[in-house]
Amino acid sequence: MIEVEHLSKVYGAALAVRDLSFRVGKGEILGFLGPNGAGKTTTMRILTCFMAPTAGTARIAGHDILENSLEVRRNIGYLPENVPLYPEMTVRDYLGYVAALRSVPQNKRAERLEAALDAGKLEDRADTIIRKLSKGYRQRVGIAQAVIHDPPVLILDEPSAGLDPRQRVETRQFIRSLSKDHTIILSTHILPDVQETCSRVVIINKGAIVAEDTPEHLGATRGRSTRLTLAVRRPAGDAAQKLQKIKGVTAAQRQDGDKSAAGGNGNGRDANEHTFLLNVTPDADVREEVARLTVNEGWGLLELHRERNSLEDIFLELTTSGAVDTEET
Amino acid sequence: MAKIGLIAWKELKTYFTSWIAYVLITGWLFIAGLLFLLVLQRPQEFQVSPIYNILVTIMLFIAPLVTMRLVAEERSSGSLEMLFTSPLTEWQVTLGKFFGAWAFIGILLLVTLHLPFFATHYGSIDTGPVWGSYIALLCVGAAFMSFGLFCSSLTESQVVAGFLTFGGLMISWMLNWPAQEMPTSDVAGFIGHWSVFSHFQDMMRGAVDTKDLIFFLSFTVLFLFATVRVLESRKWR
Ligand SMILES: Nc1ncnc2c1ncn2[C@@H]1O[C@H](COP(=O)(O)OP(=O)(O)O)[C@@H](O)[C@H]1O
Ligand SMILES: [Mg+2]
Repeated sequence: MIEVEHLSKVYGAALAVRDLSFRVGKGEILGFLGPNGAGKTTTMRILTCFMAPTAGTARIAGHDILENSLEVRRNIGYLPENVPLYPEMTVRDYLGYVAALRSVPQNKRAERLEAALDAGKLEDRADTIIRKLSKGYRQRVGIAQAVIHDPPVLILDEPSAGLDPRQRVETRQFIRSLSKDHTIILSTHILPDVQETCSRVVIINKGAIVAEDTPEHLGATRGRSTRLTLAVRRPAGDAAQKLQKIKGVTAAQRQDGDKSAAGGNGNGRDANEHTFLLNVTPDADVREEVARLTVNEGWGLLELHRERNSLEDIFLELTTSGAVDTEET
Repeated sequence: MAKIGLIAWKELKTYFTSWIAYVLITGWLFIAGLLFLLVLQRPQEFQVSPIYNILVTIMLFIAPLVTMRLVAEERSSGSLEMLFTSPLTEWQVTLGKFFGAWAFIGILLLVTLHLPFFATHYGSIDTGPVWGSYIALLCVGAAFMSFGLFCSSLTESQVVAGFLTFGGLMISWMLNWPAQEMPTSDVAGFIGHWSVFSHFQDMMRGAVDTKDLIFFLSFTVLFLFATVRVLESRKWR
């Protein structure tokens, strides 16, 4: 449905998007994840034909963004980062105007208007002047205008920006409900948005793709940690050395050296509890071995767990400067 | 075509959502009425063209206020993104906004239309110059709106757009000053030809010349074309 090929955009001398390629199939929700300034908005403006790419191209619903921009625009609904509103109009007038601009036939306008009001949960504000709406409501008007002509492709730039947590959950539900017969790209830097709505995620940093995967798979492969935490009651003095001898453990460190800075994530641990941090080689699963040793030595096993990197950690790891590796699937 | 009308209608309605439209109309009507009253003091030498000449000058002050927001406001609020990601061409947007603004000028002219006929109560009045003057004001209005729209498309700031429009129209006016001071000078006449203000005098005397109409048409189309180009340039920046 959306095919992006080697897209690049240069502003003056600054490279905003570098050789971006990805595809989004029908019915997919693609999360476009990246820190501020990564190039998400720029990419979306190119896909919606607001801007032209410096190099590369894209096809949306089979139409080329450069050669057939009017057809592309008939097939997309777009929520820009700054919600485009006419503050002097009422919500209803505004949506009616947008519907007419987007060629919704006269006899379907009333029906589409109601659907859009429903999509934005705006029924009770339909006749309010937009100037008087709160930020959250304005964002919802933005979503309503994006879907008013029932386009097959939706491009949403930070749809949950400015919403409170409950509205955010509702928006996610709404976006999921659209996925049946729409293809959606949404950009965000809010990770739960991605985890809960997207079927696939593209992480970009400094204009280039650094990872592309399903949220689950990304969590599973990228998230395989190299760290174990072990909590015991009565460690022997040489426990760390013994742990280190286990095959696959590269380092073992006792964490509770001084009580004042009981540190790490050991909040809630009492004085009778001692924790060790083990670094292990990525492909080794040493948990069984560690447990056996602890029991055999009689240290009193309390807890053993492998730390799983959250999407958040992966995001940070991938987008912190320096860590630009381009592993792609 | 329908989209142009839609945008024009929206622009025209927008004027009436703020007090500016009402202030402009009231002020305009007041000045026009006053001018007629003053001229009617001397009915024996009643002439409409001086009145409409002054109204052109008033329009020079009104034009920036009418056109400054047309594109600049959409640029700064971000709604330009909605317009150009809808299936609309730059020409549709430009013409829609132009006709919306021009229609507002049309309303200004409409509300003064009764004045010359009111004047006929006091003596006979030659209708040729009256109609000529209205054609002239429509032409001048089109030229001013087109130029103002162009200035508005250049910037995000309505204030900057307004000053550009006013400055540009002032320069156009000044181009005609030498020709007025030295009617016999060829150089001054040549410079004056480029001024909007040298092309409606004959019309206001009732002589509508195609050469003048073509001047206004070219001037208007030129700046509409330039506006389209500026709007297109967003893609490549
Ligand atoms: N109109 C513009 N002119 C110049 N530089 C821009 C413009 N828009 C964005 N940029 C730059 O391009 C980069 C990408 O921006 P953007 O696409 O807005 O990122 P994101 O949406 O991911 O936060 C940033 O470094 C930004 O400063
Ligand atoms: Mg952005």
